[in-house]
Amino acid sequence: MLAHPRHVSGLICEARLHSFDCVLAAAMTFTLHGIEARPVSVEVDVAQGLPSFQLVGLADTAVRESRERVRAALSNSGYDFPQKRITVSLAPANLRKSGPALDLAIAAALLIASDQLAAGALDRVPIAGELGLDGCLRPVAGALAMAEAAARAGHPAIGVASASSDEAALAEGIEVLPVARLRDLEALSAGTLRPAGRTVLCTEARNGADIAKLRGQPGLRRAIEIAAAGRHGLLITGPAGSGKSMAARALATIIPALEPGEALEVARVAGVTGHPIDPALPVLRPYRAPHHSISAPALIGGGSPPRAGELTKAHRGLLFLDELAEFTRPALEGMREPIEEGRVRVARVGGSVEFPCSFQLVAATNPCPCGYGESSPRCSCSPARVAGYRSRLSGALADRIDLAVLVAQPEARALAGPDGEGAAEILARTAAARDRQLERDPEGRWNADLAPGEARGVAKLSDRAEAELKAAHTSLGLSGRAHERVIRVARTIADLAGTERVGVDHLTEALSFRARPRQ
Amino acid sequence: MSAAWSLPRGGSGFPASLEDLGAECPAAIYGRGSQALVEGLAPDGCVAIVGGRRATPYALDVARTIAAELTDAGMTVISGMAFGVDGSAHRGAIDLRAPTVAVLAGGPERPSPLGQRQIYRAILANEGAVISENAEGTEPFAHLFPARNRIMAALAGMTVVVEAASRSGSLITARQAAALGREVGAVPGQVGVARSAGSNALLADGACVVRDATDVLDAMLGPGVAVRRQAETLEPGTESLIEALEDGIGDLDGLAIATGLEPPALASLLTRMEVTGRVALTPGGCYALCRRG
Repeated sequence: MLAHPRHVSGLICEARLHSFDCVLAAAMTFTLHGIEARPVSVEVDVAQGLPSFQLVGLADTAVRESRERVRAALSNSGYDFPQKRITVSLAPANLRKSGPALDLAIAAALLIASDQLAAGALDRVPIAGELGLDGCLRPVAGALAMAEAAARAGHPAIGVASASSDEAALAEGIEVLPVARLRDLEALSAGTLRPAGRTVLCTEARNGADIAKLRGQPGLRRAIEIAAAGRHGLLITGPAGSGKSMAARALATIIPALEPGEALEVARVAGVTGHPIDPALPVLRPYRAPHHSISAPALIGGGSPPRAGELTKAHRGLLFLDELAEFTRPALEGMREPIEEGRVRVARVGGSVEFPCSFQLVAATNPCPCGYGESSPRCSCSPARVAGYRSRLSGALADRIDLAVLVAQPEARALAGPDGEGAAEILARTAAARDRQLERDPEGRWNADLAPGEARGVAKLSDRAEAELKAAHTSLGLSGRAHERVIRVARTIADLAGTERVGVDHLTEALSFRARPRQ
Repeated sequence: MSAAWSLPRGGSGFPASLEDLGAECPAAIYGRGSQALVEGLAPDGCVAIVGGRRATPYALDVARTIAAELTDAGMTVISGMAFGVDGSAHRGAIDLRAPTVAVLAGGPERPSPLGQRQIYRAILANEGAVISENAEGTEPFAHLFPARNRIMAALAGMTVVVEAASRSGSLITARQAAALGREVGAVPGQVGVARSAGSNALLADGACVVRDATDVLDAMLGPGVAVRRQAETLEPGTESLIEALEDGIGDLDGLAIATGLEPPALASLLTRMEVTGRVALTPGGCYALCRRG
């Protein structure tokens, strides 16, 4: 008489089933899909027959290789690898599984099916971790995303490789059980494994290029202060050696530190991209400066399985594109939509994946192809060449640039002068300006992210400022979008000055930073 | 609400230009708002901008623009606070949050017509003045209006009729201005249209053609004087900025170092100069002075 093997579906896991010739067990785990973790149910069937190991369920190479890791880990932990016909199914069958994090669940299900481990708590607790051949657990990518997914699904706890348990413990509403080696599954199953304490992140502004060393460039310093205070996109145009890269690095040091929600997002992205943050250290705003030869998928995200690009790695931080005109056309055009949406969407057969990418853009470019700039006698570019060069600034990027500043080679005289203000002093102002934005906007948006039409209401232009804006609109030929940008920047300038209304001086200063139309 | 005051003829503050009316000179000027403004009125600093009540959008726009530009050039705009051109003229000054003077037929304590109360309040809020030769409490009877017009004509060095039909009261103001030896100007209007028949007729009779504030200033002060006057009221720092631009410095940093101005003030100044056309950006992105045409 054959008892029916009970079907295991979804996330429900019931331990072992006996029948004459098959034993069925399951464990729960996750696979990463973009920035999200999707639940995977690992079902293992151990049947009589010639020893074999079949793994099904759209597994990628790393997952398929888990057979070798599991085999060695089991033996080296003192377990037996069953010499039976083993079938491992990763459900749901139409979801691509990637990454070695499924090792632990596969091993667990196998141990339960071969009667070497009691299911116990593993009914309710998903587990994730890569197995070393010695049976020790290696860290997983996306531990936080997995813990959050587990919490959303209602699990009381998640078992994670102990090296990743700090990251997982950032999640709210779920206990994290650190698993150091395969043998720890016994304690986990019995419910005696000690949970990890909740991790709390601390944040700080970046250290780095000393802004005080940006000498002889008062206009540039002012521009980066405004950009930092409102998270405005900034374009620096200048010849080689005029300090553009230094300015970008200096800008990163005067942006206010991450807020707690932002810090969690940064931790999540960092975990998913395989470079988790160290919770013992303060979390800094990301700073990404990809070289202009980067491919479009590496910049934006893509590949199979979909991986996060530089845009996502810069999430909540700063993306610096040096030599903007040298980036490939596909890269620049491909940035258009993600920048507008704040998300990268990668479409695949198995469904589309989203990565977040809300960042501050700083770009640097030469004034013309030869790099000297038309005011220099060494410039040999014809006006047509200059025009063609400048028109490479893709339309969408131009829309994200609220501030444009031209720099020249700083004079020798000025370079010899005293240092300017240090980062700490400027940071005090930009942080205060940011606080005002937070008080004003219930959603906590930066001025640069205000939707079109909203900026005006928030700005509270004084009557004189309105008049000036009108006059400028006519005589300077402002487009509608330029109008919006000027108001947003003026609001930030007013925030830096600490006034409730935007005054005419704030507005005229904002106008001086507008990006000029391409000639 | 501002307090009432009066300037009797013969007293120290009475505007001297009104004496030109001779026997027709008012016995006193009653007013609300800035007494000092009215005491300081002199013909070469005042322009009367008048016109019809049922004005075309074109006329309203021209009145407002010219009034604003003249105010910006340091002139005081005078008008009658009526609907139409008068109201627009006052608005041009109010746009710049600058003082303007309204001359009423009735007493100055309340807006007349009542529908112009917003402008009345704005005039007083911007340190302007509302005056009349009739004491507070006088009803604005129709027969008082032609008399009111002579006061505007006398106070101003030039009367500009923006748009008037053949029987418009603003033509009375123009006639009286001419009789006093003041300049008279008119804005060209559409031919064949009744609303501008009066102002066009003034042009045919020899009034100055007024296309913009410069025409007014040239007529009043002589050509070129206005430009020089504007140069005198330059903002601080402009001189050194112009020098630096002439030296070929075109980037914000270089200009900041050369002028010693702080970047915010420098940026605001550069923007204002861009708006007035004094400065523009080269294709390479540097600031440069514009050749004055």
